[in-house]
Amino acid sequence: MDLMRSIFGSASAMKAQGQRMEVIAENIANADSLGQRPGERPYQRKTVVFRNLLDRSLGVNTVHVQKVDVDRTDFPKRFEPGHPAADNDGYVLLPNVNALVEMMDMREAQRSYEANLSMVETAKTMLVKTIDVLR
Amino acid sequence: MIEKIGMNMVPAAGTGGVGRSIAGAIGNAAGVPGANFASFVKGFAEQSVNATQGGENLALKAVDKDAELVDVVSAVSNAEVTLDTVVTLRDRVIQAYQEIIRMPV
Repeated sequence: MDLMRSIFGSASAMKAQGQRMEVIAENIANADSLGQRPGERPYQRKTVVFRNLLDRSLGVNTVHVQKVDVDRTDFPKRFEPGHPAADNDGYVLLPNVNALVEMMDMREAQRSYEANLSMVETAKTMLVKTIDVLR
Repeated sequence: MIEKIGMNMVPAAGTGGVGRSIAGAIGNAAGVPGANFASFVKGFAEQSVNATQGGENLALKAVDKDAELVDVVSAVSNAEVTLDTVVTLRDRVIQAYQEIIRMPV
């Protein structure tokens, strides 16, 4: 059934957005995770890469998370000579997580999830209304 | 005149012609080869049982945290829609039979 297939397609997108939320949560949770010794790297921000994937049993292009990569931008520094991870000049490397960027990513994931949820709801309503014609 | 109409109408209706035509139309659409009411109901019942079992299995897995909630929701929706289709079509065919039975001869 076409409408049922569209529901499964949207469900795959909802799953992908769920995984994206997982990564965003990890980034925000670790926004203050620093190294313990001089030269040790702090938490490095993670990013998700989505990819379309043809589900042959359904005949639908579904979405899946191809890989969870790391953000390669430089770590910011903060002058804090007393910190155990401070280098010779007294600077500590901070995670390259920007809370604002994560918040925007979170909103985007939320909106995309909602869009796919509406898709599922509408497709199901259409199916049920078609069946209701017989009643 | 009346006899002629009666002869033409009763065998067609009485031997399950209505059920056969409805079941045939549905059966062809759904790929079910059965041409009578019983096999139509059987085929669709099996289909809905399979869909329901799929939904239930996923729901059980979700309780064990092995399945995604979204998968459960789509599988259960699939089962629900399939069952809804079967029940509605069954009611419709039975209604057709009852109308024939109530027909004053």
